[in-house]
Amino acid sequence: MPSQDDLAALQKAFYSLYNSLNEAYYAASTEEAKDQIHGAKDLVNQVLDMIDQADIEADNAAIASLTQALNASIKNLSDLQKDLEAIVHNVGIASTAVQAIDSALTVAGKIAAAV
Amino acid sequence: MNSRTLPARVPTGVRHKSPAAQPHVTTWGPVRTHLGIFAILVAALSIAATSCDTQQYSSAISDFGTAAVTVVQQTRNAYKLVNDTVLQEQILALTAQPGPIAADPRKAFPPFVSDEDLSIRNTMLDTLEAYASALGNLTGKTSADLDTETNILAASLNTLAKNDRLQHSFREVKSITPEQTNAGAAGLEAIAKFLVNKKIAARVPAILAENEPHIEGIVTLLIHEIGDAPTADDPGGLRGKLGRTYDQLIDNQTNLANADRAGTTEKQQSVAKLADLVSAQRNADAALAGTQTALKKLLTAQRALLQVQTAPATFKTVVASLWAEAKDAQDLYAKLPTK
Repeated sequence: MPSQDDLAALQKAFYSLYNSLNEAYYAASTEEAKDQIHGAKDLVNQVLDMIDQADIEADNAAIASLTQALNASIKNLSDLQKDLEAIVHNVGIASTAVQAIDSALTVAGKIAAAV
Repeated sequence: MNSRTLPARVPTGVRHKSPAAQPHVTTWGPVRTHLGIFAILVAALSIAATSCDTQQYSSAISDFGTAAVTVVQQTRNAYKLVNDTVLQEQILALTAQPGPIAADPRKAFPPFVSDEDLSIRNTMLDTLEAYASALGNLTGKTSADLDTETNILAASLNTLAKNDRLQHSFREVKSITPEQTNAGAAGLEAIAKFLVNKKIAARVPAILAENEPHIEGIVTLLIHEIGDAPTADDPGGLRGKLGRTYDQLIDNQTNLANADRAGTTEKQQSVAKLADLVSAQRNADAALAGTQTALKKLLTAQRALLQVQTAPATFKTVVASLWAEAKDAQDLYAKLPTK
């Protein structure tokens, strides 16, 4: 079971990533790029909702759903991280988003592995 | 009991309580007569003072009750707004999605605050309303017997206070400590007792003092759940969720606008909807922020009510500010598009 501190770190990392993806979405130049970022943002949002809604420390079903969502977002975010510099031409925004993905992946990986 | 009947009761009580009311039948003569008159005066003054105290509280409690009911209504609106906006977003997301609907529609529209959790919040809000109403009955112009509805509410509060679901329901909000949840549960239990117990108007100051921490325990949970403006350290709370939901609505509406051909009426309508959403996001956040501030001011007003005899002007200022905040929030909710 993840500790309260782990969940707080996850929430912080994912919220920061959410904000970075928001900026990246509008900086992306093509419709496909926007779709890809939007998809990632949906997954990040889903994780944030789960942290908000579920009493994760005490609920096995909730932790299973969270782990599933984290694994899906790890795969999706890793793919997006590789593409970001090509699809977002504003270097500052792209690099901030890449770093935010890095931090989110570290925390998400730690929690997903611990369950 | 009420302010109109109180003065009529005073002589009745004096006659009944004071044997010195008929001093002329004794053999003590003028001394006893004077003592008797003195005793009557003391008793009458004391009872009149109590009556006066209750009257002083009466109008303050009435103002407090009116403001409390408005704040309660705005808080109900806050939960409704979040769930309605989430539904609006789910509908728009499916609308913007190309191809057939892939998700099972029966599972495609889950509310953010589940029915079970919403029912807990509504019971807490019913409690605040029932408390304000019971205080009003105690000092107001019309006395009311304990009705069936209040009895049912009191019973449900006792059940809820002991229900694990209350703890689970609020543990999700990270800024709420277990101690605060326990204080909320204890508050529900205490108010349940207050609602069904026999109440005496002369005890109003004591009743207010006893229940002040219990009301604070309940209201604190609601304040934390609405949350502050989301920050990197604390993005949670209803304000955070509502903001993200509007972001998604705006993204999806942008996608729809992008799909329209430039210069067409359709594109103009899509962009106009986008502008409405941007404005609604601002108003919705302000409505939740206003509701949270009104809840905080309700607690301040409750504390000022305790001091109304010594500082009536302070109470008036505080309750006017509470009322203005609640009205502002009400206006903002009214501006928002309905589901």
